[in-house]
Amino acid sequence: MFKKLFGSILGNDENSQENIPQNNSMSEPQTDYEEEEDQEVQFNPETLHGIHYLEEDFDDEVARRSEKWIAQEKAEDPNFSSKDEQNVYFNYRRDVYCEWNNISKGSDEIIRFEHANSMKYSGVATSGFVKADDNNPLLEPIHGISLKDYAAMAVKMSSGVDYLDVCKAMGIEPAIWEEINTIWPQRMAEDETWTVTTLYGQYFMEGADHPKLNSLQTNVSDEGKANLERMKVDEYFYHELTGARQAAMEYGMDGAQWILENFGIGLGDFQAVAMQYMTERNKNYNSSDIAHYINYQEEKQKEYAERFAAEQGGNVADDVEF
Amino acid sequence: MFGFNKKEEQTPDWFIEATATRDRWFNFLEKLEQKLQDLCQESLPVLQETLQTDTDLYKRQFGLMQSGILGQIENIREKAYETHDNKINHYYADLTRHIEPSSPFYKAIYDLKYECSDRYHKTFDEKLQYWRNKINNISEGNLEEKYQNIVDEFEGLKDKFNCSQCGANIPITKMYFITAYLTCPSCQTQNTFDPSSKAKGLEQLGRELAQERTAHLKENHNSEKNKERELYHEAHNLKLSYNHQTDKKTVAQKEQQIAELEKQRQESIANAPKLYEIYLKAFYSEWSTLVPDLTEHNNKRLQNDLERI
Repeated sequence: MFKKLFGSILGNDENSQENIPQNNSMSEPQTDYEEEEDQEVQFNPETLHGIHYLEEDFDDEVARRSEKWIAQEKAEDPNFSSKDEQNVYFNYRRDVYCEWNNISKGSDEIIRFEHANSMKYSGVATSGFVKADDNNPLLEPIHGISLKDYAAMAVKMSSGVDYLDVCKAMGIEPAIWEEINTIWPQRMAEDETWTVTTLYGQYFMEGADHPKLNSLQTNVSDEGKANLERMKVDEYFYHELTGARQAAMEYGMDGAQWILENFGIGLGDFQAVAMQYMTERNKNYNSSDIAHYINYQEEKQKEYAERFAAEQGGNVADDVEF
Repeated sequence: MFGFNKKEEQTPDWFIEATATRDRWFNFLEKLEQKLQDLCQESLPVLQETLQTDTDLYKRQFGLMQSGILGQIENIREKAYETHDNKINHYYADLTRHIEPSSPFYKAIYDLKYECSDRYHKTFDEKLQYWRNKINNISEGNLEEKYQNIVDEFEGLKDKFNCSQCGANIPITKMYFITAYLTCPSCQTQNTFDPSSKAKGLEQLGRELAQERTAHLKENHNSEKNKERELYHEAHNLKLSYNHQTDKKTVAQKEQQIAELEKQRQESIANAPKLYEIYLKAFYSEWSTLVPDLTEHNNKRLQNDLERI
């Protein structure tokens, strides 16, 4: 009954390279920064605190309000936990930020402020806001290979360069690579602040520019190069390919391979661009833009899913009608 | 327009149609459930076989196939969701807008709507989740055997590795899962020990086997969390049941029942993190026993996980 489906999933179907929908039918996102630009408050570009007050005063005010509330709650509820305390701080931080900076509650600016200060207030790193700290033991190079080197190597390998060539270019033995490739992921797993993982993502985004690896070129077609460049600057195109890749996986195909075959873009390059957009989104958080692009991606994913379904003889429940 | 608010002496046509819509919805879901069952029953043995015959360390062929089947399950879910939204919710919402609350059919329409919703959110969703879990949880089923094979291989090799330079024996002191440089105790030459492809999968296999061995502890935690939700809903339903009750004795009885349920719920809330802690400690301990090289790493991860509870 499902032989055709299994056949397609197992790669026995040959008709899979046609009719790639590419048109962009959606209008531009309705970004509305005007209201925010009109505000008189000026902000520190790094912390996004208003410059008309001191950060310590802000923290003191949040602590004063939070501790008062926590004391009341603890008197009534013996089970009031440290997580509850963190939530109280979180909520008052938002309140004070809005009050002191003339920002309406629910504004995207609060999210931007939280992203910019995530390490200080939540102990967790956010992509786009992390800087390497030389004193962090988890960032110590392993056999001379820094996290930045490791990310650059990973980009090359996931873009199709043989790992032996990458090791040679970096001047390390393959056995050392195996150890590095075990220890860096272990450090990521051990790091409760997510700093290592987040920095790795940031470095992955820049990975193609590593001086020792620049000479290693993947066998990318001119069309692939053009598509990659387009993906870096055309966010619609990036979301279209992301939707296509997701749809391909839902139809039992290797999404990364499908993108490589149809658009000439390797997995490493694709992921680097994905990191670029994610970081950009964190830095300039805008909920209406995000919703707009997510809708677009879903629309495209649906288009590709319909195409893949047709190639595989339809979905299993197509004949069930209400 | 449909004569919704005429004095109803007999069952009006629109109500007969509303009942038929419910029946059609039930029938539609039954057909989808049948498709779901057929798909999964037919896929499970194929997936199982693919998993066992896929020689790739990362089981990519299996992964692609599993992803395809999950995609079809998702397609069935979407079809049910969209039909429920467009053909059921909107339909009954339209009807209720046109009926006076005093109509004898007013409550009946709401009942039909809730029946349809329950049939979808409870029965259909439960079945969908059941099959999705089945497809997600396919395992090779012989993790103990695979682990034992690696141990046997290690036992057979550990005294048989010789120096490429002088031929002296170099003892293999632990189960390596990545290539290692071993120094010859006789001539100090550095030798490369390359573990077999089976041994290279030890880290992941150890994790899966530790999960399998401690699955009952994880289940204890999940059951406690579910128990809390069940107690909450039971108390909530009890509250609703005496909303319009005037008999003081009945109200007092129900309030006492609710207080008892709340007490149990609080116990459950307090107990769940303890059970999770027991599971985490057992899981990491088991994983470290299986792969001793990961002990230090696992201890750090355990501490992080415990702090997050």
